[in-house]
Amino acid sequence: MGEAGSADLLNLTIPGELRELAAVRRAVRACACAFGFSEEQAAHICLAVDEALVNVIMHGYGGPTAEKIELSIRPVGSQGQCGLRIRIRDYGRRVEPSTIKGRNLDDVRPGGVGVHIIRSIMDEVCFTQAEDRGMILQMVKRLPQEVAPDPEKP
Amino acid sequence: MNDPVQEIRRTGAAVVVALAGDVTIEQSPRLHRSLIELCDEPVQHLVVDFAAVPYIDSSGVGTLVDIYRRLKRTDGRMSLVALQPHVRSVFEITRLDRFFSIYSTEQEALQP
Repeated sequence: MGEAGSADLLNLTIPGELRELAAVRRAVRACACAFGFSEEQAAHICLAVDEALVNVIMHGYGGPTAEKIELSIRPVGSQGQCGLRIRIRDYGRRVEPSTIKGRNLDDVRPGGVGVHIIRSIMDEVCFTQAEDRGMILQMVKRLPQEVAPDPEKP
Repeated sequence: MNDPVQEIRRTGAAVVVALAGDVTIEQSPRLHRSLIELCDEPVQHLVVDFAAVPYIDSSGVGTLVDIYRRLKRTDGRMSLVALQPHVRSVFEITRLDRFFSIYSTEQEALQP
């Protein structure tokens, strides 16, 4: 796992292996809780990250692989609007972002709800193609205003 | 990989399956196999106890959806009990709480 950058609360580089995900979940959850999200909100953020990483491994890379995935979390915004920006960068298959959609939930069948979960939980979700190879997913989750840290307080 | 199925009990016409631990893409294939084997013989009522499951992802939910569809084909039914708040919220986010019968306790699920 990589070293933290100056503005990042969390900065990880992991191989695209499913067995890595439990440790990532713990790290993301701890980061979200430390930032001020409730346990339930942190668990939701953790789920969104988990679903995104599984999509990268299973679809971007076509299955578990030693190829890397980079994950970083940093604070964004100002008082009343602050939150966490989560960035996931992979080096797998590039996909046209407009084709990344959750499926119709009225059709009860297994699979295909990961993107729906991500979009339901996060306030902003943006998939872009990286310049050379792979995809970049940037997601923002804002703190509810009543728990946003007050910069005036010591 | 650990099998999330910790216990299987038969109570009248119902089969109660107690799960434990996270149910994610790592455990879901094993869970799927266990539940498919269980449903080899017709099951009238499958009760899945989530009391010891703190976390589930979309693959875990997908596994249950597949078993639900199989049971429906043989007129069986499926109930989920004792869901922790986060697990319940995943069913709500995916709007699958409309299809599953969800109860607070096993006793409620087993009431005629």
